[in-house]
Amino acid sequence: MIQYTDIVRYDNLSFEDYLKLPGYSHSFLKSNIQGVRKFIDVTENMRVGSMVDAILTEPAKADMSSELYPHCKAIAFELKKMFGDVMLACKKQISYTAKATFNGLSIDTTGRLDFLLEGAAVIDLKITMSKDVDALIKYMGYENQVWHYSKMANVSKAYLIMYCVPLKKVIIKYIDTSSNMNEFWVNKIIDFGMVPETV
Amino acid sequence: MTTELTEITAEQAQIIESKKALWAQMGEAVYKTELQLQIEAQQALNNIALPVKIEEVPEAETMLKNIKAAQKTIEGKRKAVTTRFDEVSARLMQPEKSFTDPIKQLSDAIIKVKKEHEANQAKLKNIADEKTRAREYFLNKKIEIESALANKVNDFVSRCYEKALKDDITMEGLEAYKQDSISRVTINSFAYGLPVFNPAYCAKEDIEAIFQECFVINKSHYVSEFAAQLEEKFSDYEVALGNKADALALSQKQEKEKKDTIASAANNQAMAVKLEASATVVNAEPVFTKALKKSYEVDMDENVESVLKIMSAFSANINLCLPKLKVTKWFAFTPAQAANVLAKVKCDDNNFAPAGITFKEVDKL
Repeated sequence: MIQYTDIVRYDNLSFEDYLKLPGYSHSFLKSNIQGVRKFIDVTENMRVGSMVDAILTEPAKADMSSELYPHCKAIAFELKKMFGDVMLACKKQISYTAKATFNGLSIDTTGRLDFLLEGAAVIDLKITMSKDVDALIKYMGYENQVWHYSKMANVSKAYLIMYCVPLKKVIIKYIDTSSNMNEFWVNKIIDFGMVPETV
Repeated sequence: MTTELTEITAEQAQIIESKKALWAQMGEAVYKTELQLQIEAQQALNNIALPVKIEEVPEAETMLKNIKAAQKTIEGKRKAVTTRFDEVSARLMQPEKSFTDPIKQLSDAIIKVKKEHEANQAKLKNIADEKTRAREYFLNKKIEIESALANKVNDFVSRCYEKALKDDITMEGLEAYKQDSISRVTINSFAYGLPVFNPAYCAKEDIEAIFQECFVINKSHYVSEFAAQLEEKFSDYEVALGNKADALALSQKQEKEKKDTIASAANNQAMAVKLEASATVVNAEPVFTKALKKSYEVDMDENVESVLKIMSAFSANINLCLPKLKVTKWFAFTPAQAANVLAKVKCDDNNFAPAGITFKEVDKL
């Protein structure tokens, strides 16, 4: 069983300040090579994802002068049409730090979720160019990402609200995060964990 | 796996021998004809003189007539040889042509089974979707009613408190007043109507089971909640008696805050229900069989009216059609190609309905 302790919630923390928080993030743990952050070449698709995220959760950060803006605005509108009321009921861009412990080993972690429906569920937005969203979720490890967010937010449900660009369709996927075990996080705690006294 | 022809019978060997002789004769004839036709062509084309002056034109016209006649003669002689290959080609094509019917039969059989399977799946989906809708409906009704009951408790408590202050209930009389108030609030104070869901696909028993699972409201909880909140509300009554105006104002403020909290909690719950009803689970298992591709074909009689309608629709929707076309020789563009591209546009957008064009839906593997 993985235990989450020392959970600290940060509302209204900028993304830049979030990056300064101590601890391992899911994205680092997912892609690091021998403990070194993998260089990621930011693709246009990733820029689209970030901009849609910004339009919906951090409007001040959306760059209207970008050539991608009209496309992103259209996607954000589609998402709002279906889940605008849900988004309105949620807290946005909440950051967390927490200690995750398994079998006496602990790691300090961070996480920043897109939306939190207090006491009910965490929600993450994804924009994808893939038609097979289920395979994508598995491949990208999104289930592990939202499992981690759920533990920090102390809820047992997670949803991925996805916009599938080729299908021009909003798809919502439910992830059961009630279990206290997660293979990905167990492996990462074993790889990067230390005994509590030395953390 | 293909079986190679490795052994031949004595009879087949005899046929091969006779064919060898015939094909040798044929080869000789082809070669001789080829030489002969080359000679005739050269002879016919050798003496061409291009006219320059008008008086040379009559002679040039006679020459043109003769050359065309010579070309026709050579073509006739060539065809006398090449038409003898047509039968051979037809015989050689016979095996591949024999695939047409079995392929159609097999495809039709697969499509038939898939269509039946998809129809069954659609029925099951209708049932599952209706169960989801019923669940969402009962849960939302529960949230709505529970929110109304919580507001009722809030309202009752505030009214009791305000009445006590206005009626000058003393500290000595307070306990009796509270007990009297509590005794007046029973489970009948929290009556509500039961929601009804009329199913179109599911059995009524299934909907009843969902109702029993989702629509659980504990009326007695609100009775005890009233008593508990009343106790809390009156816990500073001695202070309130000495500051009635402030106490009433504070009470109204707290009542409104509580109302807002109840509304916010109900909204959160409703959003959670909406998410649950909208979501599907992740299933990355490979699909057992690919779904049938639904596509369209133009379904019209082959006549001039249809051609005019098709070309007119093509012209009216040229911007939608052009990206789906690959044409190198526009003068060879046919109404059949126009019909095909209109069907492609229809496949992309089911609402595409150009005037005068009839489509039919076809299933493809």
